[in-house]
Amino acid sequence: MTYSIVAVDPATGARGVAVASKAMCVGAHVPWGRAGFGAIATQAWHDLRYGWEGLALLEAGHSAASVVQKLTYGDADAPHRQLGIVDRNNHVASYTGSRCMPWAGGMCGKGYAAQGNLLAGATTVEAMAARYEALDGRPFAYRLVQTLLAGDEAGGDRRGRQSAAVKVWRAEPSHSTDVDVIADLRIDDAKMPVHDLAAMVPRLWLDYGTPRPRAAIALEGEGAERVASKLGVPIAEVEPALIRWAGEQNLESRLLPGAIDPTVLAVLESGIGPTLEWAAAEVPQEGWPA
Amino acid sequence: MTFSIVAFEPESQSWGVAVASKCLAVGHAVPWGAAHAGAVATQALANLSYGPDGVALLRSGHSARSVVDALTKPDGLASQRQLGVVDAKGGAANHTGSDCLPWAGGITDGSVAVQGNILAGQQVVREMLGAYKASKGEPFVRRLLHAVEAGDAAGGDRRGRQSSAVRVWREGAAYGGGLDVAVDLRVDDHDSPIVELRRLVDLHHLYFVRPDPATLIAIDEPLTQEIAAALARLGYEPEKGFRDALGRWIGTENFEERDVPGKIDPLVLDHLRKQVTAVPA
Repeated sequence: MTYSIVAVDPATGARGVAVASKAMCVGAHVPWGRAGFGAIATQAWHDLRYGWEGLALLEAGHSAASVVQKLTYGDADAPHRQLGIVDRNNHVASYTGSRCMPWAGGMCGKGYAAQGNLLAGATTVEAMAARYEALDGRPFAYRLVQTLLAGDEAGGDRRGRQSAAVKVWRAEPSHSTDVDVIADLRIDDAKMPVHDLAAMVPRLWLDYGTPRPRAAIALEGEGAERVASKLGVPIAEVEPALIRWAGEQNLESRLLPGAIDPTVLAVLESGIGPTLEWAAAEVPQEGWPA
Repeated sequence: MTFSIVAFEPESQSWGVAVASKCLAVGHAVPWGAAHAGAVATQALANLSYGPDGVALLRSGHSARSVVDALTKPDGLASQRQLGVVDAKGGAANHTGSDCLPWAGGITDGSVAVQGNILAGQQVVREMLGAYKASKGEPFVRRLLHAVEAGDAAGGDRRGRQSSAVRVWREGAAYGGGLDVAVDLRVDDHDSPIVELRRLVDLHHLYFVRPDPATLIAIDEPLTQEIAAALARLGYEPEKGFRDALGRWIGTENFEERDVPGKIDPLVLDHLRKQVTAVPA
């Protein structure tokens, strides 16, 4: 029914799930997680209980392997279920019940678990693991979605395609004003859901990303003139006008006091379309949601 | 940035939020809720923690009005926030900060709060409320959808369209019965997100709602022949066993909820006919 990867980003400690399936709205059911504690994919003949009870066990300090044991022990339907888990110590586990529909199985590597059922074959999961490892060092959300693409290209769900999703939680709870999900994209029903999901990733980077203070251009002198002329306002009003413009462009997460982030300047001077094209081609290393 | 409806329907004991926006994945940020607690839409310069914090306050019995006050009073950026809340008893309240980008505002009426910002004008929220009230008697999720459709028709987000979402909470409603999420549909990045949301609501109905027994069609001989021909066209080899082939197709399409032996749900039959038409000759 489904293939997924559950992983921890070695660079940031963020944990995430990416999943695709020939079922509607896979993103509403399969991915579960909590910043600082871990992430879970529950699938096959899935039980939503495995999501919230699994999270409670992770919060109580259980390891990934122990969570699998505790959830499946005493569950008569455990042979029909499939799970992937990463815990707070970044240990992973992948469980496939003996009666999941073939081909079904999973594999674990350093910091990741890939699993699926009703697949074209073991090659789907192997291709996912190989792609994930090959993209070591790349931005995490991008890496997770590319891993799904590898699964899709290797046959994916043998019944076809319908939905896909990626969800990423911060390494630690931030205690800031926002909750701790830093990427959450879904395609609920489409002919090519994994490709559509991949196409949204540059947009995620642009709209939900973080500014790069060291590369920012101060809103004074020549920098202020450049921005003011583009916005059509007097230099004295450049900062409030920029805040207003960025809000309308959904770029408020990239605002900086007294300066303009280079990505915001790129959108202001070249437009959103060319900036997204650039991001899709280059996969920027910096400025991702954090 | 966004227009939304937050509502409680006493007849179905359901709480829900529907929302549309010119931003990526609005369904990720705006709708929050829980059965027998209430629902929250947090938007404009959205403070996402308003969602879980608001639901926690609602769970502990706070009214919609007191939740709005509790969230916005200590928040230094409250003037840029917008919020709609309905509580466990159906009380409704909303907040539009004075620095939200125009047109921005909201109205409440009974168990409904509608609100939006960067809108074409006040008519957007008025039309939303009118469409919700006029569709009483239809399934709750459709009433929420009608509200968003009416807001869109009245001009919607003046910057354009990108995403939409609808979520409904009802006790014991989720797949498997353990959770309270009855509907959770999202269109994250689309040229026509509201048309697409309607398509998802229809599809959701097809997959997750049990068939109406009165409408089931007996599979008689002519229908057997038609279905067999369709299954053959789709590669299910009905000549090796009609019931087995139909069962496999139903499994592939996830119509288990609508599978009734000896009969076929008209919606499933319609889906099969459409699928066959789409197969190249």
